[in-house]
Amino acid sequence: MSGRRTSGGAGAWMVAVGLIAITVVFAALLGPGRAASIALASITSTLVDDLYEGHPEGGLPLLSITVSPAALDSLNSDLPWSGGTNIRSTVEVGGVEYPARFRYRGALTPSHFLGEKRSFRLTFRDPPPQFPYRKVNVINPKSFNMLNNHMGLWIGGRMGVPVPHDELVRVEVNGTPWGVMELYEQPGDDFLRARGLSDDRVALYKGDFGPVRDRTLGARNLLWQDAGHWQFVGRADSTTAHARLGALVRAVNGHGLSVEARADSIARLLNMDIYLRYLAALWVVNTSHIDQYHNQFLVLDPKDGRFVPVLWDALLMYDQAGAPRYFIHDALAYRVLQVPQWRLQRDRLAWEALKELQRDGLFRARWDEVQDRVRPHLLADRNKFANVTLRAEDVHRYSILHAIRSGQGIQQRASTYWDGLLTRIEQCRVNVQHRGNELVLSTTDECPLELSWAANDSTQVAVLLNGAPLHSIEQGGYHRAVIHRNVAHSSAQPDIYLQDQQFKVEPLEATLTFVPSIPASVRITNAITHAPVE
Amino acid sequence: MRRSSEQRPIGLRAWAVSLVLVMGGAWAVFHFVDPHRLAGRWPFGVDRTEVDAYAAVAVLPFAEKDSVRVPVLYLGPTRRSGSCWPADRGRGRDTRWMETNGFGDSVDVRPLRSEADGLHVRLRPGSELRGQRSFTLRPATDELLRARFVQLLATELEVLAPELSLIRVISCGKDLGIHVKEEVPDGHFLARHGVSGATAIELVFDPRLGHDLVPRVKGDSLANERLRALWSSSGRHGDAVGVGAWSHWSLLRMLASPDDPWGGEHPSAFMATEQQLIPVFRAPRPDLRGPARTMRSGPVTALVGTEPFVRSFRAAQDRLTTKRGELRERLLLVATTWVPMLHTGEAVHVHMARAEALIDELLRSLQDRELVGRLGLPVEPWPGYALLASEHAPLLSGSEVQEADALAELRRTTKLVVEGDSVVFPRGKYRINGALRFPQGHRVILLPGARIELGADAQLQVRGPLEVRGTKLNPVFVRPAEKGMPHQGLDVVGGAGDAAHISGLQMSGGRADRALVRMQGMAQVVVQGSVLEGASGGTLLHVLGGEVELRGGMMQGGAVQLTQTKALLKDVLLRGAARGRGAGGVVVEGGLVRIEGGATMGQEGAGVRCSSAAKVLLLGAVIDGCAIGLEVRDGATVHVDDVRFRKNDLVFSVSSAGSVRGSSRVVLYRNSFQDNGRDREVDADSSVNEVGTLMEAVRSGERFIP
Repeated sequence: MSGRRTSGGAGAWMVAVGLIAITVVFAALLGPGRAASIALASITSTLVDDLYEGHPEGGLPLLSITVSPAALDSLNSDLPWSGGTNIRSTVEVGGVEYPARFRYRGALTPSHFLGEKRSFRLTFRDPPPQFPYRKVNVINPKSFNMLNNHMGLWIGGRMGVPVPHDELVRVEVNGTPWGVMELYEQPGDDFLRARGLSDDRVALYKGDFGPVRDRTLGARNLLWQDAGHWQFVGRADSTTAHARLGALVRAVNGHGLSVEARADSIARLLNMDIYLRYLAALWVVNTSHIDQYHNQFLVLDPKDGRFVPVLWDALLMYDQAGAPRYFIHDALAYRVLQVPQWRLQRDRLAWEALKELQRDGLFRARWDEVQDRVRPHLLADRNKFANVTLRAEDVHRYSILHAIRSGQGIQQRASTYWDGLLTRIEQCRVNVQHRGNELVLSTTDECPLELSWAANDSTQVAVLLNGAPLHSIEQGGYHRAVIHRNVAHSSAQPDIYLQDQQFKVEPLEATLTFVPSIPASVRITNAITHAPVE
Repeated sequence: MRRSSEQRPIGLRAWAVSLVLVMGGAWAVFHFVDPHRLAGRWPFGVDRTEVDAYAAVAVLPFAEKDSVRVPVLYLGPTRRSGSCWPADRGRGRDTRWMETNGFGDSVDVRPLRSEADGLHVRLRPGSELRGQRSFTLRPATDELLRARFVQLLATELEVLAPELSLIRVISCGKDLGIHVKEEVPDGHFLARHGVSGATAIELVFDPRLGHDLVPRVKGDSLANERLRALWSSSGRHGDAVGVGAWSHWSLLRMLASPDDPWGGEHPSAFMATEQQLIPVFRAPRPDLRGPARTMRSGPVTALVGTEPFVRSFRAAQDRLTTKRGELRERLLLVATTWVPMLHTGEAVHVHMARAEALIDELLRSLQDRELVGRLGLPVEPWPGYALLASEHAPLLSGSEVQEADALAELRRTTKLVVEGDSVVFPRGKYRINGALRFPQGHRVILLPGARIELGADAQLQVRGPLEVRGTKLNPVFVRPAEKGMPHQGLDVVGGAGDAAHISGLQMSGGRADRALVRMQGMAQVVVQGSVLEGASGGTLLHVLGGEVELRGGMMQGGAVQLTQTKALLKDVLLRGAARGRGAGGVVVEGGLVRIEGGATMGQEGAGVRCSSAAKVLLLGAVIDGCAIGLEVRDGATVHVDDVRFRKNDLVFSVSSAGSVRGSSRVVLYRNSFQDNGRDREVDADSSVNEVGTLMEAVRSGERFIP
């Protein structure tokens, strides 16, 4: 009896020693932090997720895909290079089967093809009515909580920016559950038609890395350096679109143009209202994932012949370096943010959105609603794969605990960031000194100022700002003039193609001269919020 | 006493007694307890499915066999693959043989895309089944009874609702059970219900469904255009959307699906000509996403919570409540027909009691005054809605970014009226600074006596039809607000079918580098009796494309430029500037132009300049005191008849230099020349031919130009 106990105890010891030895070896090979992260992900996913036995049904649509196992094996064996190869598949949605072409996608980001949850693209001839788009991506979400991108796009769409359709779905491939994935419309020439905004195909350009060729990743081209760096997508007529894109690129990178002349050209080729919403969305979402080289789309709106940007891959809280006021993600943004009126309009749009998202709690409510639907499936998903360390190759299985922590973390970060932005936009402490018919204003806050005084036909008041006439408009019985803020470039040598640049607001020192005198009704407000300055 | 540890077997008799006791008890409960109690809530978490199971065991063996006749629908295999429903789940249509109630024919079928295990059946053209062209078949469920009851209420409120009926489906000999047959609310359905000329569309209010920003009708560009116009002006089209009909529809949705009134897809009829949206009530379908917590912005949801909507909603409740007794009888009649069919082989009296409870619940809801309040959910804008609302777009970067509420401000401070999709300027004075862009598709009407003062660089931007209704006695004035501060005039961009009618307009003070009035993309432009003045040359009126008619009036100090138009200029006076000569008279770039009567005088450039292969007729006009009387370039052809050329430095300048459109040509008929400097300059590739007389048909106007 005691002999059996001894041999059993020895066995347990051997297993324990073996585990410790393996841990030590891995820790030595990978480094302790990395090894701990991988081990923690592995242990928690085994101990927590694998014990869950539920099979939730509702909440998320199910995509059941059938492909030839042999063809799929063939693709799997040559990832990521097999990504360009399409195979036939049948996609069942809502009990109806749709033929589609299936291919893997995402050669650049390992989380798309490492692990067991691989991102792919479906191309339909006759798409399901649930997502009536010719091409959809079904991707492994890039964050543990699976909602970062979804929520980033939701914010952009809510701010009026055109966004691809994005929803979370359950996926089965040949009867094997692949878990929760993100279904993501691939913008094509049907982008406006699918939204009921055009009866025909439209010209659409993709601004991204070049395509993978000969087992080599695509070229990284500066999009605004040459119109040829944009990839024309679809079968719409490209004649006018090419000419207009060429003109827009020239307006961005042409030399010797004044800010006003360049802005005039850009405004004739780009829908500025939507573009300013787009810039506001980038600021609110706090993403730097869209840059000089990739993650951009432009649609030529046949209604007025101007380009419209599509917000793409807007990862939430993918920080813009240096907490910038005016982040310059690419050369076009550089040119647009040089124009003070456009900066003001962008700020107003961002402020309006922030009030709803943060103050009214809409972001939190939306997050909770989506999370409530996703969480049971996330728990049942035993195929959750993502980068568990910051190294690209460390794509491993993770647990629901990671997802919960990640969700809480991102909400906390967003809340802190947006509180900061609101303060930054609304804070407007201005030192005002009266000197005869002059007002001397000074502030280090970033707010542009609006000056207003009652319109009085009998006394015409002219205003000079630092000696130059200040243009005012009459509206609602008041003359209104905006004192825009000067901005300075973040780098010593301004270059429209630099990454992670920003414009910084310079302190204001201004003298306003009123001729013949300062009107009694003069008011100074924050030009964004219209609140009186402090 | 110790209990024996020996196990005592439970004998057969004990089993039999206990079985009889339990069965007897259950039989007694299900026979003597009021079915309404049985149908109600049970304690200890007993579910209604368990009750149904007990009832089936306890009651059915002793129940009288009701013979309920359910119509039968037979489906054959598909012609293409030979497979039987529901084995074939492909999305495509296929042909099957269908037989029911004496009807037998080949029909087109496909799986229902919005719901598993459903089938969409379409009959051949000319073929009808109870007046229907297409219908769906779905497995019948308990929830259906509520939908059937509400459908009955829909007929009371005169809301269109497709017919629901129960039918047994037998596919290739296999009984698939009771299905619900529901008519598809398509064009045939609408026509059958007297809504002719309407198109059936699907609306989505649930933000989680990634469907159209604007509903789209395949192959009907007019309907799509109108739908876009309606959606882009959400909240301003209560009349078009119909507060009454949609509030009634909302009441029905609240009754049919109280937890999720906005979920799923909703059929509707769109009348493009009247631009009217009519609701159709359809039985709710299950949505695995659960109830929607927000609703999409749009013309229908914009009505919710408004005072007329609430009033109409409650009036509909009152209307039904007054008929409560009668409605209860009718609903009970439906229940006695449907319940036995839905629950064949089950304890019908329990289900009947449940149906009665449901009827009472519905009728109680009609008296709930707070029901309308539960309809309103937070509104979620469509993703990318700015694609629709282009009126917010700043056009001119150099000026202050346009304030979104400029129009609203003008409306508040002046007599400006916005009626539906028309912006009307009645008689009065309007001061406009900056660029004022009217909403896309809105008609702008300037009534007699309207005086518009444009600030420096201000511009009126019309993006739809334009009507200027000035008269000789009461013109419409557009002037600069301050002397010496030129504005940027009027910029009109129209869509296909839009027209601009201008009469009695007196306009001046534009910038030299911009056209005073610029019109693009209009199908028709008519300008009558108007006076346009340019102080410093430039273009007074520039029309690009479409048909143009200029009658009478005067253009002073600038040119009329016609680019690729079919234009008639009749009795128009074009003068140089008030002091000295102006820049040019008529500039024709391509197209067909007939200039009849009128005069072109005192121009620094050409009186009439034609290029880009334009075909022009000059008839009965006067060209007087211009540097060049008629200048023809780049393959244009000009016929000149009965024209008086007087005191011009040069009468004809005809050149084909650099032309890519062939030779330039002037054809002269009978004209008069007086006190001109030189007669003509014609290069080697061009010609000036003198021929006989102009065709009478052309002269009389029967033919536009030779």
